[in-house]
Amino acid sequence: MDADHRLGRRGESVKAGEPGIVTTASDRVRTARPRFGLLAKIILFLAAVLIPLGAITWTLSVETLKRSMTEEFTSKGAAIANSLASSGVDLIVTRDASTVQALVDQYVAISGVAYVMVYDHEQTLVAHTFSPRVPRGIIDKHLITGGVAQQVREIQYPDPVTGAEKHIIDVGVPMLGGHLGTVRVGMNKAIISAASAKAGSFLLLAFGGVAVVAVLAAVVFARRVTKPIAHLVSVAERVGQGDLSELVPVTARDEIGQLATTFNEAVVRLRSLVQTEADRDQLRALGEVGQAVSSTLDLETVLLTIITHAVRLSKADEGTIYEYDETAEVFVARANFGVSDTMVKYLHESRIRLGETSVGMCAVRRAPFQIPDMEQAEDDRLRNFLLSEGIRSVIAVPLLREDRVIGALVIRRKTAGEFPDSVVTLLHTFAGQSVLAIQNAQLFKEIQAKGEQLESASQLKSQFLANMSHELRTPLNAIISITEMLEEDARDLKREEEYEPLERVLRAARHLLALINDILDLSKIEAGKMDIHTESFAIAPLIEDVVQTVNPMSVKNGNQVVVNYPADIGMMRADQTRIRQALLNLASNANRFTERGTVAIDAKRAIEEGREWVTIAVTDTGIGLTPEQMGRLFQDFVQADASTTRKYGGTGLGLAISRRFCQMMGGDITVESEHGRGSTFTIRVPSETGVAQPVATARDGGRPRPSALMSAGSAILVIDDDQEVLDLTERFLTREGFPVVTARGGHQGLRLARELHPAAITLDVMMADLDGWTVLAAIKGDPELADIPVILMTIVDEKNRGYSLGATEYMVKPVDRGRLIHVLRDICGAVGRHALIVDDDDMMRRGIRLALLQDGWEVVEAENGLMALERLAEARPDIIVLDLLMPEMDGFEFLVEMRGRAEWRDIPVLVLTAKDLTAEDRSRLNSDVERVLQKGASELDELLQEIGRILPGSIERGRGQKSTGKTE
Amino acid sequence: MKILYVEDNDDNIYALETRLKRAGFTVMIARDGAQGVDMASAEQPDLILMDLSLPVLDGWQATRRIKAAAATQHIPVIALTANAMAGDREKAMAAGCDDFDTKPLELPRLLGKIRALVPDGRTQ
Repeated sequence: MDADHRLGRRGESVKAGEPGIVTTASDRVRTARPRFGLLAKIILFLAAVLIPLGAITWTLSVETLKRSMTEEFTSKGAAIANSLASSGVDLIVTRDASTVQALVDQYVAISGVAYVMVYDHEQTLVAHTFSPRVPRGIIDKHLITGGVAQQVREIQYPDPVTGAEKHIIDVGVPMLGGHLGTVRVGMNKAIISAASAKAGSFLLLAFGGVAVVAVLAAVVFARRVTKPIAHLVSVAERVGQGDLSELVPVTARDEIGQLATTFNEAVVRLRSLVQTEADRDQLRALGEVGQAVSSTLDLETVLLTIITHAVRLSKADEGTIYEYDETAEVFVARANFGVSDTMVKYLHESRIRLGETSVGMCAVRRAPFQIPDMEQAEDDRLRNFLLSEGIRSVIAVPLLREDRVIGALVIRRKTAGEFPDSVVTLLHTFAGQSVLAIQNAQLFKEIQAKGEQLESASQLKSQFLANMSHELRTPLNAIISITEMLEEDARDLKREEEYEPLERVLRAARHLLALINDILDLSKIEAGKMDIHTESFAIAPLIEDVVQTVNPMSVKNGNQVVVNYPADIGMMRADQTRIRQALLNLASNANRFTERGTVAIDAKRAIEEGREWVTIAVTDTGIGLTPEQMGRLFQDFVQADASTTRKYGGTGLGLAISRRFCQMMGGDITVESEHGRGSTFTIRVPSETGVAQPVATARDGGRPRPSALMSAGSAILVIDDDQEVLDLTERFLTREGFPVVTARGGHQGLRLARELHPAAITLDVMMADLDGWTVLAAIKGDPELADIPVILMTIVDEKNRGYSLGATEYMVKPVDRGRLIHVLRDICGAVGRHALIVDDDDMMRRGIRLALLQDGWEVVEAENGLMALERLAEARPDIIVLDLLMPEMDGFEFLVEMRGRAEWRDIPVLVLTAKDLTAEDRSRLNSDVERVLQKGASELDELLQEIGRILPGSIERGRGQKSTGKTE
Repeated sequence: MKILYVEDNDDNIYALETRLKRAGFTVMIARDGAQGVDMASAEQPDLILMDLSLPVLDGWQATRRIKAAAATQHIPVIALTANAMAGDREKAMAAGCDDFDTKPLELPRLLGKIRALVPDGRTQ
């Protein structure tokens, strides 16, 4: 590491700017100056230890010195005193004052002696060494001891000369036990002080030296410690910034060395983690790209996804994917990421040919081509432009398909440098994906073109059919009508010989017309263009009508026609025209192939497999069918055998067509026969075709419902693998008036979707057997189902994926029910047409019901208010037709109850009553009710009108108009 | 001139029989191939008009038999058919037909073919 260290005060380290790996600008960091660094701490520690220690030692030493010196002085003084005392005895006795004085003077010369004083036994000062005289302080202080032992005192007195206080150790020794006198020696403490001071300062100096050494040592030591730590810190910082390239050098075997080692291990582990993370990111990016490539056919979107990921994963700044136009021999920019608008424009306008720029070069060489430093590249316009945009390095990877160049992928960076191998490999992969995407897009275009061709071919065919039918019918019409005219003339003019030929012509012409119609029908059924028009109609009248129509044939063949059905056979919902057609066909056949026999028509309703069915059986006692004939029966143009067509007439197509229609309605025509004895043909259709009923059978793992048809378009298919969710969803959707079919799991969901072609599908994503994404893809991939809106419902939030795969709506669980309903209503469009009729009068209810049914409504009835509330709870009607006078609970009470519930409050109510309303009644009803109608003569028309007014668009036709139905 | 018309469709019989009679021919009708073969040998017509789609025995087979039998092989046969597919003509000729005509028939055309085969056919 090359950072400069500068030692600041108290050992702070300051690093100058770090050189190192090329990283982005934000990486220049200053190491935080430790506020209270290690050195400071050490020094503080040393101070904390050494200073008291030093102080104590110093004090002790000095004190000890002082004390020992004092003792010494004291004993010296005592010795002197004693010596003087003993040697002075004689002198004192002899009263030799001058000798005493001399003696005393001798002692004063000894170092440390401040004074000597001799007293006699009368306390008179005999001799002293003061000059000139004894200082007053002493005199004051001299205390006469009466004791025999020596006496040591510390006294002080002001120096007569200097005035400064002199500190003395005064030793008094009695002479001859005090009898003779006392000797006092004063030892000058100043010497002690001086000595101790000297010693003290010497010590201090010594300590100072030690301290300095200690500090220096500390500095050195700290530096030895902090240096690797600081290094660690800087590396750690780098790691924090994401730079894992450096490890800490392990220099010592101590704890710091351990720290460094552990740190390095951590960095290494981090590296592998980062690598894994990077790998995972890469994989994920690749996965997303792969997904994009396979899920959307919009080339621009896919390429954009690819280039975005490529740029990001290679940590570059921008990128472009080019497609190579072989005709023009130029590269065209198709997708850009991170590119400025000027660049986009520039690229759009520039015409890069093979061999030009890195793009062209990589294509020519069929290998990645990079320019690590733009500034060193050849001077050309593109290069200059790129430089002006801040681009310093570029790498281009060709998109190859079997050695043909179909494009290039370019990544650009704003920093110079070679692109690492890992990036090159990565770009290679992305290049592959790009090739796939472009291929797919091309294929798709082709498929689309083909599809359009087919579509237009099919349209031409339909057009042709339509034209042909017109063309064929026109001359036929002329033949028939003119011949009829001739026939009339012949009758008028009684030209009997002309009857026969004209009749023959007419018969042949009509037969031809029937054939043309049948062929057209079959062609349309084959092409899937036959529509079923579902309506409610009464069964009994239809049967009677057919019987009447075949009557001439019955009479001609001498057959007896017997009809049998229960009185309450009632209504059914189906294509009335086709049912009639089928029944007519069967009845005609029955009559045709029977002579002097019986044709019986039996109709009934039955509940099977949870649904209600209507069966109409036509039984004859005619020629019957052999098993072989039965096998061929429903084939087109085959009557039981070729000659029967000629003998018995008919086009031979009728049965096939009739059966197709019944199948389209969810039913079938079946046959039982015994050759020579007769046959029974049975039409079996659901009584309510076109609406899949929510029925208990859905719960047992789901048996597929019998196929309904295009007008099953009102059902919602709920796909989920959680039964509870299915139940709940079904319940609340049903309550909102939607017919619901549930499918448990993806497989069943797809199957039912194909069978039912529902109006909308709600699809859970997390399913065990087949996940929602697959189901969604399957639905959108199947041309039959692709137009069904799909609402994804899932815990996972992957909206973009959902939308890119074609979901109409994406809802995250828990689903906001209100929103789901809203979406479904939007999809299923129209006004709901579900009415609740509340009236205790049977006839009234029936009348209204029929009127509404004919108009295509769904109707629920209730006899009184209580039952009406029950019905309300089961399913929400779009409008309520309410009588007022009813037992149990009348209309008024019902309204109160109903309006009390928030969810029912805004259902429009139409009151239809015989009651003469009083003003009070009216005011009671006023706010709750849309309109009040009086029961009277034409109330049904008016009723429908009113309903149409209240719910605009809900009434299709007025009562009395028969539905025309669609035939073409 | 006697013509044997082998045909099973009633309307066709009605139409052609009437018109041929009006044109002066004597017409006999057989309603299936077997009957046709029988009547050909029994009645010895001057010409046979043979519809090809017949019950019991179809027109080709009937023609073959007629052409195989010594008694009848000299009688010219014109095949009549509603099928207008390629190869039918060849098929008919291969069965021994002398000529071939398609339905719907046009009388002048048919008469032309008849006279071509029986040039001196007298009409009554």
